[in-house]
Amino acid sequence: MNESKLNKLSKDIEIPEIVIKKANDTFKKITSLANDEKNNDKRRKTTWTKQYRIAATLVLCVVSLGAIMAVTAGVLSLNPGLAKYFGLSEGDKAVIDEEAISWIGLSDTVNGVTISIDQTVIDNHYVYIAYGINGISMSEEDNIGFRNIDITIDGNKYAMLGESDGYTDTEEGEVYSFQHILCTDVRDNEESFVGKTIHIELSDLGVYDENESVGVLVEGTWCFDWTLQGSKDIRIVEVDEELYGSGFVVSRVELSPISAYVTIDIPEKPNQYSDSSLTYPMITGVKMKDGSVYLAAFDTGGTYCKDGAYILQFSSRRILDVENVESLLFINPTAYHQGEEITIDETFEVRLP
Amino acid sequence: MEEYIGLIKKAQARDADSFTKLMTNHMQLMYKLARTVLENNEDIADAVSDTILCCWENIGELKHAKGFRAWLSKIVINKCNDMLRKKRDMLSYEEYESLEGREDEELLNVEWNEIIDALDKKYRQVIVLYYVEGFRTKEIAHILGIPEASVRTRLARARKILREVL
Repeated sequence: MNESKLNKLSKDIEIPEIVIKKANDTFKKITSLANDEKNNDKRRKTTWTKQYRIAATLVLCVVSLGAIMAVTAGVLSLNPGLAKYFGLSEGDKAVIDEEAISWIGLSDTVNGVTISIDQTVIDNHYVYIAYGINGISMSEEDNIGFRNIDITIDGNKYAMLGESDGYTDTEEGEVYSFQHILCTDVRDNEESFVGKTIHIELSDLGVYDENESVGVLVEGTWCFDWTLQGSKDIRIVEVDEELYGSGFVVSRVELSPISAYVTIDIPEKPNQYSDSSLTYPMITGVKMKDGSVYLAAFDTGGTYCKDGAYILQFSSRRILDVENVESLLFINPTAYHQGEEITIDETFEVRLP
Repeated sequence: MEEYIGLIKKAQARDADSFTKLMTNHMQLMYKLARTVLENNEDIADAVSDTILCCWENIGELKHAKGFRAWLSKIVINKCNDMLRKKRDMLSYEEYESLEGREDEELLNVEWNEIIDALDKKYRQVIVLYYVEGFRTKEIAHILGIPEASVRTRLARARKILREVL
C-alpha cells in the first residue's frame, strides 16, 4: 500500500473560512456566557459573604416579609434559621407545601461540641439544611465555619453553595447556640432529591478570619446520614414569548416554592444593547396574581447552556406560592440603568399561562 | 503533556480563554472527523460549532483529562450524525442525494479530499481516527460504538480499497 498517501492524511489541511468563522462566533458566544457565569458567581459569593459579615439581626431587617406570603396554607413550621433566611417570622403563614419541610433531629457530638441537623427544605435543585451548634464559646460577631464540608447524595458529591448565619441565639452567658444553613446548588437535575440518601461530613469547626479562611477551634469530623424527604411538586409551564425584542424566547418555566428553572431558546444573532453589558437574559422577580410584585425574588444560582438552550437556575429568596405566580420578571436591558436598584418599569414581564 | 492537561483543567474550571485555546488546537481533528461524515462545508461548520458549544456545556463532566481527545471525537461524530439525520428528515431522499457532495468550486485540500472520497463513509472514520489521530483500535471502537473486531475489519478493508484506488 502507498503509505505516503496515508501519511498525507495526517498533515494539516486548510480549514474552510466558513468553518473558522462559525467556530470563532461560537467562541465569542462562550466568552460572553462565561462572563455571565462569572458575574453570577460573583453575585452569589457576595451574597453569602455579606451574610457572614452582617449580624443575624441585621439580616432579618434586610429581608422583610411581604404580606402576600400569608395566603392560604397552614402555620409556618420552619426552623428559626430557615424562616429568617426566607424572610419569615414566627406566626407567619407560608404557602410552602408542608411536605417540602422535613424535621430531621440527628445529632453528633465530637470533642464536646454537638451539631444537630434540624430541618431540610428541598426541591430538584436545592437542598437547604438547617443545623445547630452547641457547646462552644465564641463571640457573637464570630462567623463560624468548617474547614471542610462534604455533601454526598446517592453517592454523588455536591458542592456546597454556602452557609448562612440565619440565626444566632445566646444561652447562659458565653455559650452560644448557632443555627446555620447549608445549601447545595445542583445544576440541571431533573429528578427530585426526595427519597435519596444524603451523607454529610463537617470537619474542623472554627471561625472565618478576614481572609475568609477558617481558623480551627475544635478539630473533629461530625457525620450524618439520612434519607431526604420532601415534596416533589413543581409547577411546569410551557411558554413561547420573546424577551424585549432580543430574539431570546422563553420556552419553559419550572417553579418550585424555593427555586426557578427557566429554559430560553438562544437566537442565532442576539441583539446587542449598546448601553448594557447584559447580553443574555436575567430573571429578577415575580408578579403574583393579586398584583404584588417581588423585584428581588431570586438570589443564588447561575446560568448555563444545555442542549443549545440557555438555562437560568436560581433559588428564590422567598418561599413562593407557585400556583399564584402570574408572571416572571426579567431585567429589560433597554430600560434598566445599571448599578441602580431595579424598578418595575425596567423589567420585562413574561406571563405564565 | 502537562501543559495540555493544565489547559483542559482550566477549561473545566470554566476559563473561556483556555477553552478557546484548547478547542482551537483541535480544529484539525474536528474538521477532519466532520469531513468523514459530512461533505458540505456549511454543514461541517454547523456541526463543529455545535460540538464546541456541547463541549463547553459538558466539559466539567469529563472525568479523565487524558480522555479528552476521544471524548471530543465522539461528540464531533455524534453532532455530524445528528446533522445528517436532520437533513434527511427535512428533505426527500432525491433532494438529499442531490445535495450531497462537495461544492464544485471546492479547491481546498484536493489531495486530502481525494483520499477520503475514495472511501465509503464507514471506512473514512476508522482511517482518520487510526492514521490521523493515532487512536488504538480499542479506543476507536469506543468512540464509534462498534465492536473492536469491526474496527479491525474496516481498517483492513479501507487499506485494501486505498491500495487499489490510489
